[in-house]
Amino acid sequence: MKEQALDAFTASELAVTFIEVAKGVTRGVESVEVFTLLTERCVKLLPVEAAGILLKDVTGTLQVIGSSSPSAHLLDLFQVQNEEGPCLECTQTGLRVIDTELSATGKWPKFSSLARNENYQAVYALPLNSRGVAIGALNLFAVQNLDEATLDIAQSFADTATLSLLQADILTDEQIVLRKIHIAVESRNTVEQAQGMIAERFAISPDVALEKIQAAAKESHVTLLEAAIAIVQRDSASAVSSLLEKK
Amino acid sequence: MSNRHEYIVSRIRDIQSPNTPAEKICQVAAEVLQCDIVSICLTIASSYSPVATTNTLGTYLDEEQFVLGDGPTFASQFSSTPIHVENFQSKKSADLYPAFAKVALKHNVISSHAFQLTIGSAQIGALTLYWKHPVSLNADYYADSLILATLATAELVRLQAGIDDDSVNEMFEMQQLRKSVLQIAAGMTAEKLNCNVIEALVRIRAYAFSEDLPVTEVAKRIVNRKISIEK
Repeated sequence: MKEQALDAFTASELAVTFIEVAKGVTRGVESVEVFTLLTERCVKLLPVEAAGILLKDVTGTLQVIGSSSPSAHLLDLFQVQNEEGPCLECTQTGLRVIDTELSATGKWPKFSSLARNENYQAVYALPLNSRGVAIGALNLFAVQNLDEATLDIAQSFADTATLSLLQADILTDEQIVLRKIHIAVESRNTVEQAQGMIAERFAISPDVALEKIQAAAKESHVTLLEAAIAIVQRDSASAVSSLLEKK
Repeated sequence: MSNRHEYIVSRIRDIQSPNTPAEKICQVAAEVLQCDIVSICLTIASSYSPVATTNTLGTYLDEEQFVLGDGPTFASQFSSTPIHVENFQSKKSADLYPAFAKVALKHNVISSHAFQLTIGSAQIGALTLYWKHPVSLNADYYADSLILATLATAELVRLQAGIDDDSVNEMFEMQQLRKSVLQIAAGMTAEKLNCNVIEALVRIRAYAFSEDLPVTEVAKRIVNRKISIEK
């Protein structure tokens, strides 16, 4: 059984894992590969026996995208969680769910019974959160309880999975990239138009005008682009417009 | 210039016909995107004016959207991203565009993708693509559509500036439209004349034409306060 302390070997292996994921993502490797790598490393580096990463599809169904082992028993454990289990709860709440009892009379009797049959003593579900929304979870199965430091490392695997997913989507979907670039250009144009308006209004240079807009945006708690749109559209209801009125 | 941009520009240049530059853009759009009808319209302050089309049905379909107050071209005025209707026969499209979906289907138009023509947050018009079969734009078509929309935007500014020289060279000069200096100059002119930035850009363009100067040169002079556009 592996020690829970983060020894030099584990630290070095963690670094190697994150470098591998980064390389894979920038090469456009599919999420399934990245997730499989992450779950395999969970089992190698953490005191857990099995791991899986599940994502909610458009219908809200949990789908296993990567797992440390394709064994049927593990898939059953994942599958049943579309009805009950820590993973289901985790993706509903976006919060970490820990069950170290797996009681037959607990919250998820069917799932607990299956897990016990496989000799697991504890199950952990760590959220894959994107902008406050749970898009999936990392499920860990162990024969011993995990301490807080280990769970923090496990959460970093979940966070890496989320980042790799978002990045992989951007890299593999040229249309999204094009749209983002197009929107970025339009946004820049809007800021420049606002710069021109403020430069003319206060007889200042465009650079100083930009600083003025940035300050007004900060004071009004809006983004630079939102401030620029308010200026260009002469939105009198906007706090930015009142701040940049000529006295 | 990307290879696709270069290709599209060369296709427009190659058209030997008395068509206006806007009509040539429509013609090339129909060719490279393999669509049945293409149209360009002006939509300043929610008022609609037809500019060019490959088929009179295109103008009719655009116009109907502004009469009915629904449809992808109409909706594109209020969106920061293009509006895609893969299939007017789908329930989703019928729910989104209840009136226009019927009009489109009556004329055997199954799919439409509308690209708003904007400069920053200011809108000047729309480029609408219509197909008689369901179409989901792939990344290549999407990229080509964005290139064509950029060319159409520049052309609308030129037309609004009242420049009657229909040479395509005039149109390509307007590809400078996205340059920072021109945007800042437009903002300064809009503030001075108390008009919107599109009108300011149009005035800068007209001034450049009348003085026989490149539009970016006029913009530089405005930003350096060497000239200013008067009412």
